[in-house]
Amino acid sequence: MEFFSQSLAEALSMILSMDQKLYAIIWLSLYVSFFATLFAAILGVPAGFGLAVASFKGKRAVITLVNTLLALPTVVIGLFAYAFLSRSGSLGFLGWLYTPKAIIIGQVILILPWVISLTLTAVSRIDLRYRRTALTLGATAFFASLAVLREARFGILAAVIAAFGRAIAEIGIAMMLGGNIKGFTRTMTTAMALEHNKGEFVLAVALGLVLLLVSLGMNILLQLAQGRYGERV
Amino acid sequence: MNLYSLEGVQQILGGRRVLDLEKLELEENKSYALLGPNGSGKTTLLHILAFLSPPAHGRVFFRGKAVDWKEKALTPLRRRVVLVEQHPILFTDTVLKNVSYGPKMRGLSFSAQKKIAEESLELVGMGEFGPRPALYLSGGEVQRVALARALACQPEVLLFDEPTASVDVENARRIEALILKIRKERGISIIFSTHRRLEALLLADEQIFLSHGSKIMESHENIFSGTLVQRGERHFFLTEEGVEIAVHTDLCGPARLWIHPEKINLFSRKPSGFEPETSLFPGRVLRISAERGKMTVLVDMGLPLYVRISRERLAASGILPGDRVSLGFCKEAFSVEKKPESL
Repeated sequence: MEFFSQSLAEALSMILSMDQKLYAIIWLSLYVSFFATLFAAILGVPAGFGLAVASFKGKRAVITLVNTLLALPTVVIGLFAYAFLSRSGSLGFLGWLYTPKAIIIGQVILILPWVISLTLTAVSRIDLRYRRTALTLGATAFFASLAVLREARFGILAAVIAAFGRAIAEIGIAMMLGGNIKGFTRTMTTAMALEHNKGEFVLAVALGLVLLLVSLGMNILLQLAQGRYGERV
Repeated sequence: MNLYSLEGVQQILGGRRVLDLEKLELEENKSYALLGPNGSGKTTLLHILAFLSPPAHGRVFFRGKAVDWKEKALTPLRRRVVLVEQHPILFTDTVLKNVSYGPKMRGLSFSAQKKIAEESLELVGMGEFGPRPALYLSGGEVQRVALARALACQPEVLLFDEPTASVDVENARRIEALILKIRKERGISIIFSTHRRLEALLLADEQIFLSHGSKIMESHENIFSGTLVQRGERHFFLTEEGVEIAVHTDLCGPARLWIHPEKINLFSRKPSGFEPETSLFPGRVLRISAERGKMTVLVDMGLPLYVRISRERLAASGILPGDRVSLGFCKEAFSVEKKPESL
């Protein structure tokens, strides 16, 4: 217990002293996870919305597939993306393996089903009368869809935040596609694993605290966004 | 030229035929009440008239032009007709933004949107509610905002689905007064569904009675579901309330019985020497009301029964609410039909 409290105290001092090594890792983690979430949202929100409102043959099969992909292990994604990005792979000419770009691609594959599935759930919960009301008030089909999307905005925001949380906390993809290169592709989770292997707990605890803080920050952001409407428009 | 003409319109939902109208014509600048019990097809018809759902079969004409049910062709039509639902839903925004949604969709400038929205809110007596979040309005207020939102679209036709069914009496009277005012001041054609016969009499120029998706000739009052059974030579209609009525028919099985309110004889005491083909039932008068020169007497005979008689005859009989009476049905008082089967 004493060992843990000592590590915790040193970790806190490391955070407060603005340790350069620590903040470089945090920055990289936030950078890759932000862009992975951004790309996943750009692709996943329209896909989830379309899946919720459209009716087509095989819709159930597509939803089952998306839900199955939620359980995709990060190491499987890592292996899959590695096969494409390695020198001998079809995308090897890009030279993206062991770069932050490779981690972003892997994380997009990881969180895209989450964004699609949670957006689908959020939009499906929206009362059908919203679309009907928008249409009878003269909206085109596109603007009626936007009205529904607007009503589902907090659910979609929650989907994106959950996806960001999943991206920033994963380790398999960052390790296999990023290679844990110091100062270049070392993320919070890969650095924590390395420090643990070395028996150095201070940096690992400090990064763990930051991860928790990031998660807390995202949740506060979500609450603020939801609360804003509740208090005043 | 008719406002709407419907020819052979049928709607099928969940494998069941919920609307079946051989012909329906609605004239311009008139107000119509769609009357009928739950499941009679009122809402389905309103959705077709609002161009929100195409009929499964048949053709709809709007101002003489056949409606093209392709999505792109519908938006210009929808901009001329607005439906206010039974339970209207407001967007999670301010009241003003809700009301200015229609003008915004019509490409009006921001200042024009605001002006129309504010005028519409003033008209429904909710001028000061503009900046408030729509989320915190009461049921009656939501109904009035929905009315303002529909008016802000400046439609040629206003459709209401049970406009007063989900609000208290005070708000119901307010909404009725607003509909009358709109009709008087703006000359908009109004079509609304209702359960309330008095509301229909007050607000509508014409009444359309629907039962099980079809147009029926007269009132939806005194329509009962039950089963026709044969005992010996005679047929009896057993209502769901357990009342047994002798009827003249050859049918058997699930059916609907309509007892014409005008063809029921009301007696203050049991009559003697009555025709043998007439059925007599005891009952108790629950309510007496006046409707356009006729008196409507609501009698409890194990099921609620409306009897329509002239003021003079009622005065001569001396019948008052609470009195025990006898009801006489001649065979012309009944219309029996088999229940429509599911598809």
